[in-house]
Amino acid sequence: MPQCSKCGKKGLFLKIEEDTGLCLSCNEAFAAEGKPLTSGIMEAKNKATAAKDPEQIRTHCRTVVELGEKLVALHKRFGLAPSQELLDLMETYRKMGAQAGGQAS
Amino acid sequence: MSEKQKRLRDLLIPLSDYPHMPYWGTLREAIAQLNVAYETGHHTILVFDEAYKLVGILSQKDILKGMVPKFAQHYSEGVPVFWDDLLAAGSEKRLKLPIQEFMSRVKATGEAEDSILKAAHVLLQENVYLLPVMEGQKLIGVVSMGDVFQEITNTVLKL
Repeated sequence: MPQCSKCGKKGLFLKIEEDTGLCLSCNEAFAAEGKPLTSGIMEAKNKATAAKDPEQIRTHCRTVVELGEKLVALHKRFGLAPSQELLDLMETYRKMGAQAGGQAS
Repeated sequence: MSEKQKRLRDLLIPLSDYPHMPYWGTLREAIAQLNVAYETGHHTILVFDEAYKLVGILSQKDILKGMVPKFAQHYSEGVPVFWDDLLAAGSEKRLKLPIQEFMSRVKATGEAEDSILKAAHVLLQENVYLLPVMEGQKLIGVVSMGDVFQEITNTVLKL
């Protein structure tokens, strides 16, 4: 019988999202919290890539990492594994931020 | 045949090199993003979901398809009105639509150890410019048709 991995709800006709293993309401709750974080990460990522000033790069990289950590925490709260794309992005921008920090000081 | 043939792993472009957008971003935002990224030489946007998982790829072609009015596809010889007026009249509405409607879903992927020729085959088969590359379950980057082409032509010239 299908069962939601977050709230434990189960039922013969309960719809479970294939990707996440969550029921529709838990999936919606995850998406509602995840969307602003994802948007914020992408905005900071794109700004960091376009920025020339090391201080600005460092600031945007820090935002990517901070929001990324929040998104990872959200995944954990819903019993999901964060995507490799997210983990790689955080690692890349953590390094990029550290490098820019070295240039700024 | 060379002793050490290149594999997709050797042509990898990190995902972070491309502009990223969420699937709910608008066509206008995508155009602005590509405009900023133009000088980097990347003319494609990677599209992610709320869990930061790659769900699609938005190319210049997809954007142009989104800009052209839907009914125009019925006219192979062009529409019987002025294109300029048409673009101005309908574009405001279309520019507000989410890129999810225009992006190409990730249909195929390659493996890090796949050959370059196999990647070329998949790129042509799926009619895409970028191919996500996996290492087991892990997405490690993308390869572009341009790089695959360059690699194949270099090999041909050495024959």
